[in-house]
Amino acid sequence: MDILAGLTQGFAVALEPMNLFWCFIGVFFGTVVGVLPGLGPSATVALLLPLTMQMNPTAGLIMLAGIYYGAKYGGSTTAILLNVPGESASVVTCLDGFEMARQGRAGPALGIAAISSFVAGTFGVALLMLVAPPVAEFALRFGPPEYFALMALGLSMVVLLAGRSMIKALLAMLVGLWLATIGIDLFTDGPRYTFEQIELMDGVDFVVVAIGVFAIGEVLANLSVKASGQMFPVPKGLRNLLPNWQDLKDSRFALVNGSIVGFFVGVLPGAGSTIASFVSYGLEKAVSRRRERFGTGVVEGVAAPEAANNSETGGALVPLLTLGIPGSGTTAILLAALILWGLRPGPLLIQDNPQIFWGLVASMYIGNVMLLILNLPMVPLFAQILRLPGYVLYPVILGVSIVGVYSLDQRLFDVWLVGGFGLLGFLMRRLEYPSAPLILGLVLGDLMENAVRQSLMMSNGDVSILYSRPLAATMLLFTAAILAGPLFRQVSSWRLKAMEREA
Amino acid sequence: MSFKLIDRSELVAAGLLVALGVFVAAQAWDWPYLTKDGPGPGFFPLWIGLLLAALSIALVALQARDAAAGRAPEKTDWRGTGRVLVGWLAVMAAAALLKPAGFVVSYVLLTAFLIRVVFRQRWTQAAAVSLGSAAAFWLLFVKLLKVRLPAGPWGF
Amino acid sequence: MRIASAISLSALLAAGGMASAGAQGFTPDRVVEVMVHSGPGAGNDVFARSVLKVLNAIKAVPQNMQVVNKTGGGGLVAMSYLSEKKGETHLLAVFTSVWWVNPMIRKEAKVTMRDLTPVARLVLEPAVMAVRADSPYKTTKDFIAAAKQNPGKLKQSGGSLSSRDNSYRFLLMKATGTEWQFISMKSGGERVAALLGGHVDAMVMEPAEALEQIRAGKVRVIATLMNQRLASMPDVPTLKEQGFNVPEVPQARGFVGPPAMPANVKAYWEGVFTRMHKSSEWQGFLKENLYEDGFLTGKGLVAFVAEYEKTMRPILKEAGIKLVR
Repeated sequence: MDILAGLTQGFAVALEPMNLFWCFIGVFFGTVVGVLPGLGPSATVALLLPLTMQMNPTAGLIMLAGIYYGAKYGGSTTAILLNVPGESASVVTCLDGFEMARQGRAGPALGIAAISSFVAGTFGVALLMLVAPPVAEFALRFGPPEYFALMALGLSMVVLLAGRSMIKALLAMLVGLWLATIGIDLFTDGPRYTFEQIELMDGVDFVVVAIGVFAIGEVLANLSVKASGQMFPVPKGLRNLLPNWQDLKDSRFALVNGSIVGFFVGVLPGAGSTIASFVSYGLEKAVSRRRERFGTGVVEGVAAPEAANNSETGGALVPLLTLGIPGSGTTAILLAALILWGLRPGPLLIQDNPQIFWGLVASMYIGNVMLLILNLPMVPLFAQILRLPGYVLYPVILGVSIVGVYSLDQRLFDVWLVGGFGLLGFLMRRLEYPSAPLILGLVLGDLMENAVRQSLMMSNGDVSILYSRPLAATMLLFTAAILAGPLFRQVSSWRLKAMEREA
Repeated sequence: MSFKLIDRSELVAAGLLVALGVFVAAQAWDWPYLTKDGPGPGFFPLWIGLLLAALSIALVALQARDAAAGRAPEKTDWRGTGRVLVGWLAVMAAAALLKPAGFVVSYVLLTAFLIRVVFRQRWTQAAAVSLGSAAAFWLLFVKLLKVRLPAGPWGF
Repeated sequence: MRIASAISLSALLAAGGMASAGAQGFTPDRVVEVMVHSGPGAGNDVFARSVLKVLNAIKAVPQNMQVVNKTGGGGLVAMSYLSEKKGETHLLAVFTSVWWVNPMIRKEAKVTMRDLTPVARLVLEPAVMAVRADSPYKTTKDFIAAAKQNPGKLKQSGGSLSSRDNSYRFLLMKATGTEWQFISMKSGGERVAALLGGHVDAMVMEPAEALEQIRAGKVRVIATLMNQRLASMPDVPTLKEQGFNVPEVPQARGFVGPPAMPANVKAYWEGVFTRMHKSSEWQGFLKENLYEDGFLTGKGLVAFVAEYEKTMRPILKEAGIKLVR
């Protein structure tokens, strides 16, 4: 049994005291950094990269990977407590997580986030270990038409993110889609909507928009009421600060859904954890029996995106380790680290260096356990943050937001931008425009446009390429089904009204 | 149709969105719409702009219908909105201060201002919270995490 | 007499010391920042970190050096930041070909290479043309013949229109009277995945990357795009050898300082890179990454800076890019 032998070897490597130590340092730093908005895993991995140059590659990779998946655990904390996404994939977690906190259920929300992260993180590693090579081959079947279909599926989630008004959700998404077109057009090299600012040539950073609209918008909205007391109720007693049996039961399907969606989206080099979290949330809502309660603080609305986000790590490592292709910003830095250590990342990496691959896999099992042990006891503690009065907490959120966006690129321009988007976020709240569709449009917009234009270049302008390939066709059928749902309900409600009127 | 009954801010928002849509579409008009291999750089923005404008108009129409059906708009809380605007201007002023004065000073001023003026707490509280949290920020981000924050002439 | 000789002796010693240190009166006394115009993990970033690793290993600089990523505008943000730091002594940046190309094609650019202080050119990057291992095209001739039969049907994945990938495509199309599609993709990962997945037919690759894929039996290299064959791929003929008259499109990487860098500081950094260039660690790095040694400083580099712009101008025009300066 190949895998068993490999895993035994891997655990022998991962359980060496020094490797255990580096694994702990990695996941610990990762969680801390994940909690802080703006400071994402890729920035932290880059920060600690010089340190690992003195280490051996196995220990270095174990630590850097620890930061990567550790940051994903931490990302949900501020999303749930403060409505501030700690990293890009936690935007979706805000939707139900923050509502739970508002209702005094911050503890259970944080707990379920940690548990789903653990379950899905471990699931992702297991799949990485068991099916990496065939899954990598599957990922290669994704060309531009398949990416187009995936992005269409993602954008169709807007109908599931809408609040009271579908039109407002669509408008928010369109603004997001427009923001996504800002920058240099990939195909013609010409600028679009850059207003001759070189800072806008690479487009508007998604993190800037997310922090502006969610964090600063939230703070501004709360300035209109005098917030001198504590923010939200925090129940006493440990039992109320952790998820109960019913919460776990409610999230079991979300765990499975998120784990699977997260892994497979993660494997694709042209998609990422943000897409994974949106899609799994949408799927969860689409099949749920209490669909209408999503967005009001249901526990599976936290479990699904958090699971997807963490399972994505295992997926993203598949193309990196089996093909030498980085699938995301963070795995690109891991690839750089491998090169700097003098290894040759490529399809033969595992074959040439089995101890690295198996050591990494084993360390990820251990690291996920460490993260659960590290994070669960922190839950009651973090929940106490909400006892602080608003006048302490809100300025701190502003400070964290400014530091977060500035740390992206050390550009003051981004601080101005985040202020502007903060005002936009406040206005959207006031006028009941949902903010998640804006983010959805921004994240998927240029990916979809690129995919369409790439596809049509491949087919010399023949549109049928978009729907004639089987994988793409399947995903488009899903998309149609999701779009048809609310349309169908809408039409039938109109018919009912019309019948009432006639009667 | 009874536009008078619609919330004024809803109308203004829709108007701004129509304007944005027209601007987006007008800009896109100058770029190639279709090339020999499918959509050009103008294709998507043009549709995004047109849809923005069209949907905003549709939104107003629907609201007018609802308003006619008797749903009264809520009263705007001008006092609260004023506080929000003051808070937002404070954030922007702090952003402007970042370059000449550095992060720590800008943040202390912003925090103290918000706590004292917007949240109407005592000076002592404003001073304690702003100085305390600024120190914590500096230790955590600059010293521990080595984030390169803008520094003033005094080095922080 | 004795005093005079003592003076001349010390002057001699000082001169000797100067020659070895490369400069008088300057050694870094705080952290040296090395600016990179792309994000962590990108090619330039890896390059910068590799250089720092070698400098660290040979203890060439008594202070810490750290990479600072200043992304945006395809290098324009980094260039304008550098130009604002006039006379700064503890700041260097990695230049690549886009530092010439982007100012030529972007009217937003306010700084060109000529405004800055080039310190040392370190490598020239070779390139090869790769197809999938099971592709019917064994040579460039096969590929061109297929392109002739199906005009506009073959596909090549690559970066932006102003990238070297596309320059080679245009030069080759012009030389052979053929035409095929160029599918721009954002990340290098997507480009390779598109080739391996069979969604495109060809791609311009870096040899180090291609070599690993060859070793795994995933791709085949059909041409070396340089004037000479590569030592690492001695069996792969150049385009010229295969009968295609296509000039080499050079791509260089090295270090550049802010405008008006004091002469002694520039001399110091030149000395540092000269020492690094001679080290076995650096030679090992070049070999491992299949880079061509492109070491050049001083007047030669100044000439190169001017020359490179002249080389790229017609190539970019040929590729249909609008030049603004």
